[in-house]
Amino acid sequence: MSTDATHHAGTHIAEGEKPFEPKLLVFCCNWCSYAGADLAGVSRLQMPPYFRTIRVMCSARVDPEFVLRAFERGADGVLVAGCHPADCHYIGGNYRTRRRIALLKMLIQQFGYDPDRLRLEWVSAGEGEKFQKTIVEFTNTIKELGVSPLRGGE
Amino acid sequence: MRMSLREARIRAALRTVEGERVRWLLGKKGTLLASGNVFGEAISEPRYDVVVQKAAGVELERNLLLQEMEAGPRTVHELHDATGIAKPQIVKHVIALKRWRLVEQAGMKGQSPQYMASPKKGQTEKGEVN
Repeated sequence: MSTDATHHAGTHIAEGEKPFEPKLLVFCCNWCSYAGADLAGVSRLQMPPYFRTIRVMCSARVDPEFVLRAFERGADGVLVAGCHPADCHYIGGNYRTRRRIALLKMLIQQFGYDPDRLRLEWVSAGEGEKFQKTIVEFTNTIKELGVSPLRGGE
Repeated sequence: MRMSLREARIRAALRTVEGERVRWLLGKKGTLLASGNVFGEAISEPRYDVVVQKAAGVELERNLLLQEMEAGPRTVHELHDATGIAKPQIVKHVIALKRWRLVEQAGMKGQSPQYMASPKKGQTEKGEVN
């Protein structure tokens, strides 16, 4: 079991100021990533507690509206996790997702969001450790980027 | 009831995602980077990113204007007030939208022409789909 991928605690926090706790949303595909997330949990891998997982039947189920609404409602980052290319349960769902996320990354820039606030990752059912590392990295990235522009950040 | 600007921008973004221009540009990324454009000009990745980013911005603004004009005839001033887009930019967008027959002049309000979205194919003037 690996717990070496630790997350930073909030840096440079003034006294009395509440550390930044990012709100992250993770969409996991039912067949691979959700099982990977489950494995990470069962293996007791340490992860920052700032994310909420939503299980979808396929990463392609993640409509662009879901992502835009998440940001609109104050999410600091959105992670979409799906099966590896060519491993999709529905044959080609993840290819559609890849294209859609590329498009959404461009669009969120028009709203003033950094494209790094949206991330796509392939996580298979056996990659609990990869899921943990992805969550830790993503949390660190969002902590560096700060609060969502909608909540007063940059 | 009139929707907020934020809601309107989200809807415009969703229309942009569904629209052809940006989707095609994304779909042709590999071809454009490997073999260049139809004029045989090589396109680098940073240049491609700039082009796509610009196209996304333009499409977002045009969809925002189009949504506004679907609600009823609007002058450029009214469009500026509703969307916050600069007036010279709105004029450019309206010219482009007129060229594609997505928008038509609906009359005059004082000395300003009013524009409204053309009814979509297969749709009656009342907005019913045939």
